[in-house]
Amino acid sequence: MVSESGRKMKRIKIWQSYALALLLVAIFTNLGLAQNNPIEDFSFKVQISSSFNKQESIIDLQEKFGLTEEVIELLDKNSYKYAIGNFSTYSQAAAHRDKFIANTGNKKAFIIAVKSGKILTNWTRNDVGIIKPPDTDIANYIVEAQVSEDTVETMPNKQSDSFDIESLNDQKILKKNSSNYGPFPINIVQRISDFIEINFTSSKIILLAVICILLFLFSFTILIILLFIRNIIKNRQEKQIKHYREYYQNILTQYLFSDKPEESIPHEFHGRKNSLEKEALITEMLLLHKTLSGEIKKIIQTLYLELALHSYSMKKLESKKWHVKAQGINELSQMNVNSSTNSIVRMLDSDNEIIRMESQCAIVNLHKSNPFSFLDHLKHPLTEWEKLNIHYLTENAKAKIPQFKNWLNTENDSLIIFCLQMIALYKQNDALDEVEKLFTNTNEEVRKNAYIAADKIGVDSLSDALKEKYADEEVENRLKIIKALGNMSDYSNLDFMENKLQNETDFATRLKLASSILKYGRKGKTILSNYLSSNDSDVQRIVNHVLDNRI
Amino acid sequence: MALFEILQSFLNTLFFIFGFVIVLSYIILSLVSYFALRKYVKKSSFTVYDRLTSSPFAPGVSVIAPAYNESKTIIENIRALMSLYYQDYEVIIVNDGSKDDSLEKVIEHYKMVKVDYAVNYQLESKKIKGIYKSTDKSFSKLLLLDKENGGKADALNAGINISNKDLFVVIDVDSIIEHDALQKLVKPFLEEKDEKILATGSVIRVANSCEVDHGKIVNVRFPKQLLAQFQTLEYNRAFLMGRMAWGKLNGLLLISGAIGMFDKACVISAGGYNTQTVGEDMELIVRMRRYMEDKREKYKVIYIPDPLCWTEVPTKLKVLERQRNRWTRGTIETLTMHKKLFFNPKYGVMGMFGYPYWFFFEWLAPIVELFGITYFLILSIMGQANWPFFFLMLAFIYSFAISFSIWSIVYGGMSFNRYKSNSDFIRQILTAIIEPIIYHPFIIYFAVKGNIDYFRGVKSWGKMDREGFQSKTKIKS
Repeated sequence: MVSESGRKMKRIKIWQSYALALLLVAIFTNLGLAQNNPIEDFSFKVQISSSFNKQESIIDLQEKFGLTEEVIELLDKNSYKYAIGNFSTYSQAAAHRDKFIANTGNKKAFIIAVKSGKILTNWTRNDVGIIKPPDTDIANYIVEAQVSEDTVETMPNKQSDSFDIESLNDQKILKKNSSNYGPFPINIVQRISDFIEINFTSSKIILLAVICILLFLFSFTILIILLFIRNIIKNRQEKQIKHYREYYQNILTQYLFSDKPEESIPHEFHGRKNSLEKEALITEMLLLHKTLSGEIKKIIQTLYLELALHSYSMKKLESKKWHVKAQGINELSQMNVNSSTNSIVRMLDSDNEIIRMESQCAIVNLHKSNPFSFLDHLKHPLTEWEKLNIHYLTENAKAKIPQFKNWLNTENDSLIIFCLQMIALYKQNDALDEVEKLFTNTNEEVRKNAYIAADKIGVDSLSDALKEKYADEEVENRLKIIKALGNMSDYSNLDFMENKLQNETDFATRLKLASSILKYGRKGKTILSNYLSSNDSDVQRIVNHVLDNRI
Repeated sequence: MALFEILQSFLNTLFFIFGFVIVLSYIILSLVSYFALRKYVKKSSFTVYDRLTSSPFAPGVSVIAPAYNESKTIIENIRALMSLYYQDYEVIIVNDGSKDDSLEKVIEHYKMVKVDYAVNYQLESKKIKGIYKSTDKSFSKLLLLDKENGGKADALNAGINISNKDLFVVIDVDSIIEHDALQKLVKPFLEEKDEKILATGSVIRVANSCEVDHGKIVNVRFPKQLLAQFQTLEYNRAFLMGRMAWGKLNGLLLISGAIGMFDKACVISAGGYNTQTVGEDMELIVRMRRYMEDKREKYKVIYIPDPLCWTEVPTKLKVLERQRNRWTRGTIETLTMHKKLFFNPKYGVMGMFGYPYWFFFEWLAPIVELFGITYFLILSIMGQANWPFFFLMLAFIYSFAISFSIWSIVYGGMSFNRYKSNSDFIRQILTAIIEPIIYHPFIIYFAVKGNIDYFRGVKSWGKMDREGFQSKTKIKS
């Protein structure tokens, strides 16, 4: 029994076979058809007129020369050429030309060779009657032609009328007189098609395609080679860096844990180093500086200065590349190079967010006595990411924590929010009055953080102000107010919250109210228990949730 | 002029313009990707993600993982999710009516009991049968939701309803998440000051042939199986050269369902996941973006080139076909639902570029390609085919395709290259060379079939057979 996937594969194979068969039929059919289609293939004609950039009326030409036979229009770059006749031999065309001259007196008529609707240029007859264009790399069209001695003629080699034989396009370039375009909107399509063919003639498309193919082939060949080389170089570099790092790690560890390390710096540290070595050494020093603590940190910093590595880091500040600058700031900051402070301060207002952040963090680290001095001059808004890093460094560097209320009057809302967050984190009760004032700030986010700060400070005197603001706020800020009330100990808040629990419609708010009521101990629990058999199913569910201590 | 000649002119013009625009757009997207990628990699070197781990400034995240019949691997997968490097997060496993013993296994292993959890039904979902919490404090961040079967979108909506955090991450429970995934996905939310971040997504890598130990990738290898190799390249191109660029241009319409972080409030305001489409991931992003555009608020959907999620790709044609069929139907459903965006300047980059790009080059391209081949065959039969020109164009397309793939390998190397060995590198190149010949026709076929199934009204997800990740084993490929 054949599986489903097996049947599917079989079906795919069948379709592929059909497609292959159709393709083969098409190839052979095409070859066959191509031989017997004189219009599509090669012919001699007699050119009787031409017009630059402007079409002539075929009917007018026929009238002018008294012609009953078909006049064909051919496009040759920006010139329209008009020809009669369709002959497979040169002599036949020559005879026809002579007849035309005799009938009309138009001695300017001459023979042209046309292949697949395009006029061939620079073709010549040679002694054995082979007519072919001079050295081109285009497909072979060698045609035998009978030539009569007295009608030898070559195509006039007019540069302005010629075009390079590059077209392999078998599309007919028979341009009709504009009166022969179809009706709207068909004529629009025809005009677009003609426009593409005129301005992006097949030859140009082919040229473009060939260039692109060569470019792609070239690019991916070069890319493959470059990738290989890059891989080799990168692996080698990584090995080298690894070797340097291991080397310096060993020496550093031995040096740092030796007796009186500050008295003798090993000679391995001295001497010229290439940039890879310096980078490896600095990386190891920074790593050890980060992981170790106490006196050893100071020894590492001293070593860094004595080896003049701070000059190497300072040079990075002058780089035009932002990531090199940022790296320099980072190194100088971690190594507590106070002399770099002035250079770093200038970058506090950089447009590049990384440089800005590194500079802020560097100042926090370097100015331990006044780490937040940069806040006085802050122009850009602080992002949450910057705040996170500043807080981390404040904790890590054990920097002096200022009174953040000093910046609560600034016009920079992001700075106010940051200060409120820090007041909340460090429970700065002294900022109580300023925090309360911000309950009426026009910025919703500021008010939200003021409620959070009030929650963390947890002073009952703020209860009334919070309850007053409740009605004016949206859900998100209401949740913060409720949370703050839950962390206070004023029992009058219970009535307020119970009232809201009964009347609120928002589920999340009700859940928060129930949680905050529960924080009031036995009294809160008693209030909530009354709702266990409430008719309000939402309240019932909420109370059950809050009272379930497994959640 | 004969009707056929008019038609010929029209089709020639159409194919020419289509091909020209598609090639040009790929080149532009590649260039945009290159600069965005370079900047991201450099920025990353200055980012100490560990600072997020215990920072009070780091927002809380709910990790929501729908599970259906995942009995084989669910315990390991949950264990991996519980050990992510982040402080304030919860893990919500949504058992979407599994028919096997997934639920029982989790309850037993993680010592879970049913609790009186009050669900905030902000989004519609099928009936919730119970919510479980662990009696063991070390699993306190785990929540298990058991519900009636409703599909992935429905399961996610239920998970959002019980989520307690402001952000949530959607993951496929059978994918492997990098331990620092939450840190990296959260960072864009913290960096932006002017525009609201709706969602962040990341690169998804192919886990086939990689060694896995206790839910972590320990050794990365380029897949051995041919079909997986093709998909690796395909993912590389799509993520590093396509989505990276669209993210930069703020025209990204899709965050993969395998991993993505979302602003919960915005998702709820936009109506949550649509359960009527199989392309719920794309449909949500488009709807969230429309919601913000209609509110005239600035926003961004960010894409980061970090590979944060590893997934097992189909190694059988049948399974691959089901997957691509579903992706095609999902794309068409989303495009149809949001047809108002089409070249609508009111919707900015999304309306004028993102949506039309998906419409023409993600949906219609396989159809146009098939039509082009058919057209040429007809011309050939009629003796009107220009064979030299045909072969030249074929050479052009083939060489472009290989170049594009190799550029994506370069981008992979530039960013967070995991295939370090020379043999993996050579295999990637060889795959790039044979992919257009062997793999691409199948993709066209699957896409066309997806279109047919869409118009036939097929709605199913299709069964995705997976080997699963076992400890200290290679994922078979």
